Amino acid sequence: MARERWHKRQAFIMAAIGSAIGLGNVIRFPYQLAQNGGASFLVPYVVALITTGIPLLALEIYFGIRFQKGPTEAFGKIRKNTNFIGWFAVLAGAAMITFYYTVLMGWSVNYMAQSVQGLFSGALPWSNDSEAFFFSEILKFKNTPFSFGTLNIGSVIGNIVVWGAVFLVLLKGVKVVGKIVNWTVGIPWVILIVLIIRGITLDGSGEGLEYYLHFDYHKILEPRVWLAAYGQIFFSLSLGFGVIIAYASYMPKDSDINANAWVISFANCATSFFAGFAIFSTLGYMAATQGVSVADVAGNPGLGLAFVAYPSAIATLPGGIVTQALFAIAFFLMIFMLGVDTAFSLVETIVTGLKDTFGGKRVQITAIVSLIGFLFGFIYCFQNGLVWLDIVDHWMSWGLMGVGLMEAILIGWFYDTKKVIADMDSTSGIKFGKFWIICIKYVTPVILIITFIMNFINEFNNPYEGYSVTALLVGGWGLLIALFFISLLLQKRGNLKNPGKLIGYVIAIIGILFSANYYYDHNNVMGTVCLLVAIAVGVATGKYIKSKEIKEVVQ
Amino acid sequence: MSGAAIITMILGFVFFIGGVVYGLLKMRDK
Repeated sequence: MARERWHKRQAFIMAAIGSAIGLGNVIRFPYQLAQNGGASFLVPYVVALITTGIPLLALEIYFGIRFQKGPTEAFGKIRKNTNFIGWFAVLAGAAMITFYYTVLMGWSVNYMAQSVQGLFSGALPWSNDSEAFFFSEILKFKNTPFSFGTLNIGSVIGNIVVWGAVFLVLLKGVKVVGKIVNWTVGIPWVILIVLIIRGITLDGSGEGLEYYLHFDYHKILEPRVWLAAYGQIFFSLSLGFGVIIAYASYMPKDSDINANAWVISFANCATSFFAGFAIFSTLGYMAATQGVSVADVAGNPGLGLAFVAYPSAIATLPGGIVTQALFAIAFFLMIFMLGVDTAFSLVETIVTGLKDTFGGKRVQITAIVSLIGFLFGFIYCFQNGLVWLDIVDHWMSWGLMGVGLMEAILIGWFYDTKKVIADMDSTSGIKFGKFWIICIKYVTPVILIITFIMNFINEFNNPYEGYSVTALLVGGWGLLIALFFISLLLQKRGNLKNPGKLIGYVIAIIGILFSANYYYDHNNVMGTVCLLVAIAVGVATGKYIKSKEIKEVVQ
Repeated sequence: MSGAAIITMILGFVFFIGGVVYGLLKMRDK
């Protein structure tokens, strides 16, 4: 059967831009910039864009276009037994992230409903205390990982709305996605322009923009700032999710690879850069009205900006409740749309992966994935949902970096890079040449390995957000490692019938968790011993049972 | 706002939007 196609080639660009532009562009980038040297952060950021972002994005587009397969099949075309990389991208990237991302989108639906309600009651419900409103009213939050509390009906309803939208759009495949993304990308851009114009015309906006774009050149010399820039580029461009591979696999084989990567990357970075104007001009206004500094009202990067700091600023806008409610609705509609096309791409990646490997009808696969995703989302709809969301989000970023590293090494060191770049350059008016080879072979792996090591050390020295080690072992390391071994099992159908491999992998997972526990206790010797023993026992068990099976078959 | 911030704003605008326009002009998928 002929492979599905986008209804026109340009649809791929919009869909990929929609996937890349998400919440992170609004709630993460402006803070990264402000806290890492302001305008001077743009130097490492642009270097990271050119040396890792665009080359890796082009590589993922190449995978999809050349092999006409999603991530679960494309890697195997490069080298035998490497499809686990694609499976890991689908499981740790697309699946695990979608399952909480939709819940988060659900919160923005709740906020839109609350804004409409505020329009009639005369005040936005969070106008007195936006932080208390978010944690107590919206989430009914409890910081207890193993005590779930009651189910938050608002989150469940929001989750139903989002999964319903995702299911209906993906039902007919990428042809429909390609048309919908014009709206889900276009509307947020229009809203962003409105928010920028409103923001920069407010009193005090200059202080906010000064905070955003101050020039602290000393920061350029700090390695930490460079790592932050590379991390920001990596996560912002949807790299390592398998999304770009899946989307590109629906493009014709003669499509332009380099220019697509170029345009998607620049459009994504432009959106991030401009989002900062909307955010910090408005925060500057709020700081001026309260007589405090911008840093005081900005808080910390992350969800707090979308659901606490910025809504708080909206509630102080001049023009009364009508203006405030309209801006609140516009802002949360923007958040929703930024997220929903990212959710389309993530779910489409899972559907493409399953369809390419196991076959079957799109309708059935989409229905099953949507149902599983919706049910999985319940974990995040309880009172402690934010704890698990936070932990899973943090650890899955390890998975994404792992995929990025493996794909760069696979192509850079185990494949003919000259052939790849000649192929890529022949499709486009933009030529990357040897520069691309250097980036994929050396720059990207070295930067990712350094980031891995530094984050690894930090992880065990400072347990994430002070959560209990048990919670981190279950929702963090345990989940991530289990997904990795499931990816190894899924790469060959016979694996699932091989008890030796299953037992070996379970032993390895338990051993790795024990060693992680030792590392958290700073008992590095025991941690390392435990890790080596677990790997040795795991491998030996697998081989022993496998050889026994072979002997039985021979006899 | 300081001069540095204003220059960054203009340069950022030119660089990022210019990048998008350049990519579109060079694209063969028309």
